Amino acid sequence: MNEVIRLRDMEKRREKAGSKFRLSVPEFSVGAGDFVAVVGESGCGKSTLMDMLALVLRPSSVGEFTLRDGDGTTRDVGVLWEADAQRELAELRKGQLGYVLQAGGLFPYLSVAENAMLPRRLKGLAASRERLRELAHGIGLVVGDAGPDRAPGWLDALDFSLLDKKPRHLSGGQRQRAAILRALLSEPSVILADEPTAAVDRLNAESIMSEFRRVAENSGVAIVMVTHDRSLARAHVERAYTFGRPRRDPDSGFVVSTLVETDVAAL
Amino acid sequence: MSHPLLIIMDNAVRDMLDEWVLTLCIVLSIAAIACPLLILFGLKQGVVQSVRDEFIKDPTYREIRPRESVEYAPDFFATLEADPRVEVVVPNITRSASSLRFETADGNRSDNIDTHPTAAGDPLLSLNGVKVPGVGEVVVSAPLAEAFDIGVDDILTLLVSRRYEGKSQRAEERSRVVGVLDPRADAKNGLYVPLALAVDIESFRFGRDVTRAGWPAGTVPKTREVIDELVVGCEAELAPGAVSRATIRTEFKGHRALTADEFASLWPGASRSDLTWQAFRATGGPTSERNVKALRSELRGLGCKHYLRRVDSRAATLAEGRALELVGLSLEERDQDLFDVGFARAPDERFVDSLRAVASSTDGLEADSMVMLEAPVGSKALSLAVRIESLSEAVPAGTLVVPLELLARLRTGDETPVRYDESAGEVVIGELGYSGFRAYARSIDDVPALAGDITRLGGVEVIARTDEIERARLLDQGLTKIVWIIAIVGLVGGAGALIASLIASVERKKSEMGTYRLLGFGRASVAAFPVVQGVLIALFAVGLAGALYLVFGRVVDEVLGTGGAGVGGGGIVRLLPAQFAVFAVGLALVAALCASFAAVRSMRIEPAEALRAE
Repeated sequence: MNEVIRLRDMEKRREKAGSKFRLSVPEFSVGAGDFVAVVGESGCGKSTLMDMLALVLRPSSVGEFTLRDGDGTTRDVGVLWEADAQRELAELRKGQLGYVLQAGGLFPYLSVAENAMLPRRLKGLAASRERLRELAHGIGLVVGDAGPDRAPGWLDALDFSLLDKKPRHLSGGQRQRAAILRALLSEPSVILADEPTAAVDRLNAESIMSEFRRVAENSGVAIVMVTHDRSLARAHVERAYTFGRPRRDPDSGFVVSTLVETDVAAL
Repeated sequence: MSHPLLIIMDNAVRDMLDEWVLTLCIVLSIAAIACPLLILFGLKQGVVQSVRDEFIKDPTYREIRPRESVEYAPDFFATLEADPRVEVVVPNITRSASSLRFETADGNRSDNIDTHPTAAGDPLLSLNGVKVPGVGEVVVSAPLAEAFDIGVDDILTLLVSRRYEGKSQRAEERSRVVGVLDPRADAKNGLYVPLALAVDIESFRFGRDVTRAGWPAGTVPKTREVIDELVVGCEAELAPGAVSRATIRTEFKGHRALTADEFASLWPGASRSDLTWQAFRATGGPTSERNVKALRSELRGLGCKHYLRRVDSRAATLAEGRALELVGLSLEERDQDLFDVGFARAPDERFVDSLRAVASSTDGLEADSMVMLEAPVGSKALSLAVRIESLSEAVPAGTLVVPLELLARLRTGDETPVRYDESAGEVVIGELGYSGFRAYARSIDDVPALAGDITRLGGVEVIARTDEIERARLLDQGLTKIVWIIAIVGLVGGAGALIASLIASVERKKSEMGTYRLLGFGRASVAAFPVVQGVLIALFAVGLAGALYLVFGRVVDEVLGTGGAGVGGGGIVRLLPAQFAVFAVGLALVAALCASFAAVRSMRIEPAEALRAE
């Protein structure tokens, strides 16, 4: 079994201002090197699922929630939540998860290179400029230098000269690429991408999606992308999950949204 | 650098530099509060220190002296000098004996000028840059120097005069002027002479013999005859009115009627039961023959026949350590029948001739023998060679009957230092004690308490510039309160601005804080972000305020004409580097405290905030 994330019978219940919502995840898994999309409309529970996958939101109940780290060790996240082991959860976030946030999430006072290397510094890994090129090359990125054997990918457009710029000097697409670089360079087991193409144009979006797939294949990192763009997901991902139409449970009064695996072609 | 706290601190600084305009604004706003506070503190310290500097430079602010001349207990000066708060004590002589005239080399002669003793360490001279005069030297006050055109190295002839045995006498002492004292120290005509010379001037004035070359000889004053009580024998009891008049009009303020037994217990062998006996006592201390005459005058015509002088008996010790009681009894002719033992009254008898006694026949002493007695007199003991004239059964064991004159002279010694002059055969007045002093406290802060303690110790009112010192202290206190009130108002305002700025910054950076949490930074690390910024803002602000203080401090000094360089220097605006450092550290701590509000806010930011940001 090469599942990096496995969820079974997980639920999150929310009651707020008179409304009751329950997200139900009967089954969810992501393997190493998978590029998986979670597709749904606004309010269906995508963000809630992303928060739980990011280990920042405690599930109301869970049958099984495991995360396999880079050493192959499987960590029982459900037990950690049960024990409220915040420190261990933070360590897992730091060590195993990478993030590509909707707005990029770059620190405006750090250069692109400094932003990219920040998670590595926190993990105590080598964080020099040379190491950045080496790692990028290792995962199929040749920042600023496509090389003779490969057609340049979109990240290759992340010109070396931009590495010393602050995020405010980059375009939206360049900022998103920098965020992806940061996520990749931290050598996670899983990258969680929350609407990574929401702030870029279609062309860049397509390019980002292609690169995600290639990175997943080349590096073995599992990528889970939350998006509302079905067509984009259909064109690029290998597997997909969707949220069924929310229905009201007459007994509990909760509006229930259930995550199910869906055929990519059916997106 | 992989420790999360260090990374956060580094990033906090980068954030401040990235938003340098905002950072500069808040630094300027804090500096705008800190700079006036620094100037205020400096001004307050400068004002107070200027006043204190005046006090410190002028030794008269540390001076404590008695209001009048009195005689001090023998250990008074030693006790005073041993007080750690006292820098130096310069004894003084009786004011009435301290004036003299002088003659300059040009022949100009002065009127009576006050003379002040001085001694080594006298700050009145040393702090005014004048040498303390030694043997053959003198210091003059500036007004005196100006009046007589006296300068350093001039020779003055000091002239001390007295009347002695009906004749005028004058002593001369040549002295070289070694200094002129600043008018601030003495604005009157005055001479400062060595203490030994001042004491000799006083002694000469009192008729004593002073061993100085060329000074006329004198004598040493003898002790006078004093009595404690007059025991009066009358034919009848005195009326109360007569007793009242007698006690009111003489120094014999105490009165008691004696029974026959009580009378008999006063002297050995005394008995006269046909008379009534009254004891009139000088309650204010031993009195003189003049008051005996006064009492006799009051009781004239009331049937009083006998007036027996009495001095309180005195313990003495024989050489072998045996204790005896000395009882004085000298009788006029009319009284001699009253007693079996006694001596004829001889008030002009030399003391040495009164060293005789009648002893008890049971004490084992031999008639016509010499015994050595040690008798306590005042704080000392006198050794006396007494001749046992005879033995008597009327004298109780352990008693020596001696002439009243002997006991009376010893009684004087209880009030005034005395000594036995062998060559004169007299108990004479001892060395004159000092009748005043100038004491200098080490610090002006010690003056008020020390003045009170000296009053208690010496039983004398003192003069000290405590009012001015107290005014300076109140000024310091008052200014301190005012400055601190203003400072607190400023600090509260500055703290509010800083707290608002940092909390607003955390709110603006909520998604960034959430991202830090998401990436794996802990709450404590994230909380350090605003704290580092708050402390750095405070330190930058203090640095800027300090630079502005240096500039504006000079401006204030220029405007007020007080000169100076501000921090560490003179001038009216005066802050020491150490005080500035304390201010900086204090402000940094306040800033850290203010930042703690923002730190608490940042600790509450959850990682999910990063995922929610758009």
